[in-house]
Amino acid sequence: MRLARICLFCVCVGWLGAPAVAQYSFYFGRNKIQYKDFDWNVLKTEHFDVYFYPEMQTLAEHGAAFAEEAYEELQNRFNFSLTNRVPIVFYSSQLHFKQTNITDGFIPDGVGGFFEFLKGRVVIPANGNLHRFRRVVRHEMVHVFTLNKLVRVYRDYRIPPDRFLPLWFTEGLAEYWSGPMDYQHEMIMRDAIYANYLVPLENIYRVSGTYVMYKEGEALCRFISEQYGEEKLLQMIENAWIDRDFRKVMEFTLQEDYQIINDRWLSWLRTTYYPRLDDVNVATLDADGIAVRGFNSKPAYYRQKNGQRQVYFTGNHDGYSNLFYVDVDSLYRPLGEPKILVHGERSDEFESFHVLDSRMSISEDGRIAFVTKSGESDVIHTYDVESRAAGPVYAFEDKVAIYSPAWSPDGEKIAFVSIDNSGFIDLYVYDTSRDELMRLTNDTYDDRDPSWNPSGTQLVFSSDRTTFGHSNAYNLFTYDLEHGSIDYLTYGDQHDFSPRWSADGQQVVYVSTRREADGRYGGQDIYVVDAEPAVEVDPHVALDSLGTRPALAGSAGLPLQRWAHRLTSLTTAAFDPVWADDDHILFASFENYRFSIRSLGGVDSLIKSPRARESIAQPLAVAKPWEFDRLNEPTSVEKLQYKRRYGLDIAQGQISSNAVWGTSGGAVLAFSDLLGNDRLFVTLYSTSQYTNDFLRGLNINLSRVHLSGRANVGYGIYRYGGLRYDFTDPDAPLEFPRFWEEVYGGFGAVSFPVSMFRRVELSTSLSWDDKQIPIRRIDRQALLLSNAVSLVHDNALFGMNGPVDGWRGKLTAAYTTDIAYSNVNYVTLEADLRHYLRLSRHVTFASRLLGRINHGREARLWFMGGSWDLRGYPLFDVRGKKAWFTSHELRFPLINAPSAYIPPLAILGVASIRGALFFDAAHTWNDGYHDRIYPIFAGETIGSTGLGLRLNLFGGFVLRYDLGYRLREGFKTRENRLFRQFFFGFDF
Amino acid sequence: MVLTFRLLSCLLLALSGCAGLQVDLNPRASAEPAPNTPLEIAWSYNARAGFGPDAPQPFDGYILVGTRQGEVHVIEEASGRRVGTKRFGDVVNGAPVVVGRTLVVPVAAGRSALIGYDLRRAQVLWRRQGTPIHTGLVVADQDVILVDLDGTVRRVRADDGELVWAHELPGMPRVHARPIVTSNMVVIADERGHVYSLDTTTGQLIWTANVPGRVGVTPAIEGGRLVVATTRGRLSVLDVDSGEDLWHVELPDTTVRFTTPAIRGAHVVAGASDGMLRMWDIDAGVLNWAFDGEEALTAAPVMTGSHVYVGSMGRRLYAVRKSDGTLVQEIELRGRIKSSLAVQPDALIVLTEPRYVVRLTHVDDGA
Repeated sequence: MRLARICLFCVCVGWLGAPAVAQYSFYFGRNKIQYKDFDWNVLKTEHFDVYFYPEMQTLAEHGAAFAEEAYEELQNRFNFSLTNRVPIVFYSSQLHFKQTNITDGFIPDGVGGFFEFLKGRVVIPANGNLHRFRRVVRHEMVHVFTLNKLVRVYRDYRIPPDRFLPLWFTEGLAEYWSGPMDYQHEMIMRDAIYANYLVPLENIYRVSGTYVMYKEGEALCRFISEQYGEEKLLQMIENAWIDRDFRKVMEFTLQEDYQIINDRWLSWLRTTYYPRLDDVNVATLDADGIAVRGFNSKPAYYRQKNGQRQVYFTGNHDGYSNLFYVDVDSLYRPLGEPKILVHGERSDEFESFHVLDSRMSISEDGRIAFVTKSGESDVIHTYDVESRAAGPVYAFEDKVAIYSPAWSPDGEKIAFVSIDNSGFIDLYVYDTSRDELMRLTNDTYDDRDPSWNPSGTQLVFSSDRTTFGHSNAYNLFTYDLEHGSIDYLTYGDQHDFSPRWSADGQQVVYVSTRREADGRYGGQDIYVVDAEPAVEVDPHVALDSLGTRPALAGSAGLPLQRWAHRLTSLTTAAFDPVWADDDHILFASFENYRFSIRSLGGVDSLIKSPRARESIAQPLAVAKPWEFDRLNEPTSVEKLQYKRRYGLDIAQGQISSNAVWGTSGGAVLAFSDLLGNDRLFVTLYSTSQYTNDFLRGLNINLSRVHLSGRANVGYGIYRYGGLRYDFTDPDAPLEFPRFWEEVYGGFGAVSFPVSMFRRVELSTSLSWDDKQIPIRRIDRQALLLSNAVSLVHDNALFGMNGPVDGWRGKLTAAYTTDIAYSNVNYVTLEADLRHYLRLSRHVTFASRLLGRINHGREARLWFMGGSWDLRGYPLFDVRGKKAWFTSHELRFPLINAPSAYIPPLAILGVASIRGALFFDAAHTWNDGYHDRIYPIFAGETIGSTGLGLRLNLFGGFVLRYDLGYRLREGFKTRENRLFRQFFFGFDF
Repeated sequence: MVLTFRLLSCLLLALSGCAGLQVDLNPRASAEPAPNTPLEIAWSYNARAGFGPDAPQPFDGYILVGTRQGEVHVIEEASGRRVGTKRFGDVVNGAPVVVGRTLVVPVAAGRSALIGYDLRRAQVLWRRQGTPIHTGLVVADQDVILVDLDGTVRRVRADDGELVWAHELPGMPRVHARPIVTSNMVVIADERGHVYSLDTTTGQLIWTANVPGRVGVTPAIEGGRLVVATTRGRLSVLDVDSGEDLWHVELPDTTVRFTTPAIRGAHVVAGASDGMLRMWDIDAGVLNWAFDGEEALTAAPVMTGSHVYVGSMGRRLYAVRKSDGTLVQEIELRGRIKSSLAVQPDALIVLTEPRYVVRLTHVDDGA
């Protein structure tokens, strides 16, 4: 509820006695919902305060050990110690992490954690993988050390701490010092070099914040370390005082020209990666494309009863993630464009797909099982692709995240993996006919992507429970449902993922990547492994928490052996292979920074003549299970209940002077607790013009907002006194509405999110109001009670300049009355609907309908004009107690990526240049619809039409320039003078 | 009127931060440094900015401190009173020195690289332009020896700033370590791990040696032994006359950085970023003891007859018994201790974050 919270804050610090005043406050936005009121505890270790909830204590103890371990190492690397305790907040899953109030923004799926430097808080979710959790802890610890060291340098040299190190350096260093390079790093770097989209050092700001920047930054730090010395990385931080321009800091530290550093880096990369091209191929040469536009992943195959072959996958082609399908022929060529089967990210039911983490499965009778987030946890949806009808939805208590459901061959059971409140991921089987959930594993290992054998007696899955798991390796395992035993299928220090059993049960297809001789990971290729061992002996038991049984050797006393066949030699990576008919395997490929769905034909021949064949020796003895360290209570930590302590978030002062208001000044202070759940706001300012007038002109607002529960609650008290300049007051002079008013009272507000896209807002206020307008001889007192209720919907998708798809709307009803003297008594009704029709990927037709009524005694005026609504008319010039307004705008691109054509625009941050054709119309009135009131355009239907230019700067600021003609008298006349209007802000 | 003028002058002087630097020099005989525990803070002085890695320089009853804001402060040692302050550039990172009555200041950022200043007359005697100097100076007779950012070693006369000799180290290496002198040679260690011994009189190369790892701190020299600490968990002991590696220590953790070592008699002691203070026998290379300071140690320790003093990044000053490495006293100061300590006959001078000079003296605990 990023924007909804801003709205709530505005309500809290605003004046509720007059709903019309807030007509320009931003009231849309999706909801960030706190489904769970966590019971926070604190582990106090030597250097950290670790915040966690009891369900995830074991995970928190691991995290605490990881943090202390990282501290010990980074203390050496930075030659520095922290003198303050660092707060670390752990969440047991990504879905819980998304509920955090430490940042107001929405957290996308891929975010592994963040370091918030205002209060020095580190926030990290688990995702079931302890290795990744450990790495993220280390990554964020590097940020903590970097910031503290940098601030120390600036303070030593008495330099204001307003210089930031470039993001590529801080993130690159965090990646580099958080652990050895992983296979994802290698995948991105190889692809960037082979596909020629590597961004040179001097232009790396162009990809700032992207995954490519992270990996290039890591590669740069590695290059500096290898070529100039590891110490240079630290020296660059220590030398940050040398110049505001980090390029000069680099030149000073590395003692080379910036361009030479860049050239050496590029040369180093080519030398590293080009020799690997000898024996590899890009996916586009090895496999045919099925879905290649946009982002596509997690393929599944189904042949309809009428014989039509279909490929299903999750993808994102236009900003929303959806479930797609495409018909293919016998050669797996697409027979048309992919079609959307399930629209995602627009409804409460399908809030979001885990497009990178969760596979889907189709039963033999055509029921597809897939996962979306729906409310506070994930659910498994079923959908009959034959009848095109949605089936049952399965949700499980305490199962927070769910991944990769797989139908059993009889279509009765679904195997899946799930993260519960403890933060660990385990394997489950759900019997749909008996409504029984069976937990197969219960340990700290990371189990992924189960798949059934054709007889339904075994599951194959990927897991780090291998004896190589301590180095983050994954092997394939089988789970025998009859005996509950877990056996190795593959074995080695490698990453084996995404297994799928073949229809005949003879083989399992999967992807695997492994380190090459120089320690770097090679491509992630498709493998097929024999399901049965080459010699007839019992399989061997792997590590598991269910108990182990002794491993047996083959009849000749030799280790068991299976054959694995590598079918591809890819430059980058294949993902999620799935068997299809006609000797084909479908998979997702990563190439040219794009995920596509592809088909690999001739699989039988490839297995007979593979790119490589390797024997997989089975372990003869069960090794001791690996495990990470933990810090727990009896030894090195102290466990406490969380207590709220408030810290300053914002302190801002201001003084101003102008002809209308005279001199005024004040301050805003904001405080919050460490978890950001409880926020206090203090606004204090004075509009007094004389010393003895100070108390009369003193304005104060004290408010508090609780965000820990699902309903966000705000309340407070305020006092406003002084001269006002208010166009909406019906008693004020129309041309110069300046008058004196004193208001004091209290207010309460509740915002209850029904779902991510909808919420109900309630607000109430009770205030004493004393208004004096000498020029009109008005001296009015009132005890105002104002109540309002609103319904808000927003599923709009934002583009660079504003919404491009979806719709948003708000309905409000309010009633304001003077309960003491009946001087004020009016109702407010408001409806604001905005719809965005996407005509093509880059062209949107946006429409807005707005109706507003204030009716009754002392009903306030609405106003229009300016760039926010009725263009061509100055702000406040169009006013009335009742109003309707409509706006229609065709938004289209003029130049996409303009900096590609005019490079200097990149320096100016020009991210897009777009155009707009618009038509606005409005009518305001007080009593009679056609009663004209000069000079506020009331009683006349007016409008404007024209075209506009939109410029996005630095991805966040939108410059709008409109020019057009004003339409008057119910569009009967058009003014000859062309109006021009310039403004900052997003499109409506 | 005259009174008003004087008051105004005083006010301006105060507002300008006592920008003058005039010192009444009374050379005193130095005594054997041996402050005893327990220590307590005698005074604390706000120097307005952070400090480089070198120790404060005591001279004639004063303490001399350069700051990273480009100022040099002279503090009366007994009282902690500011005697004077003068800004010599934008940054003074290495320790300035006093030669006779001339203060010689190395400037890391500013218009001049080296400045000679007459402390008695309070006026600049000479300035040398050129490459900035980030390291401290060392005195050789009435001259100073320095190494600049481009790896050029120079001997400069303190009286008039005239160059006596210059020696360019090959490859223009970056040098983070202050030069050190013995009777007839000056030793410089560059960041690549190359160690050079030059004749102090002529600047001619005597020998070179390489130590594995990078050198980021000043080596120590005494009794024919040169101890060079490197950033990669290694500490090498070389023969001063030949540069031959006599013995070395290699820690398993190569991320550890040793501090500038301290040598006294038959022992060498060095702190490290892993928080450990280690003492070895300087002849045999045998580890005598190790003391865990918990937080990183980056400042050079000092050794007296009975104690080793070391400051930590955890704001603590430790007094450790020299004989067995047991903790004798622990004092928490205002901030991290990143600069070398200076030891006086009856006091310890410590530079702490954020910008304080602290003098600790012995207090009689009645024991």
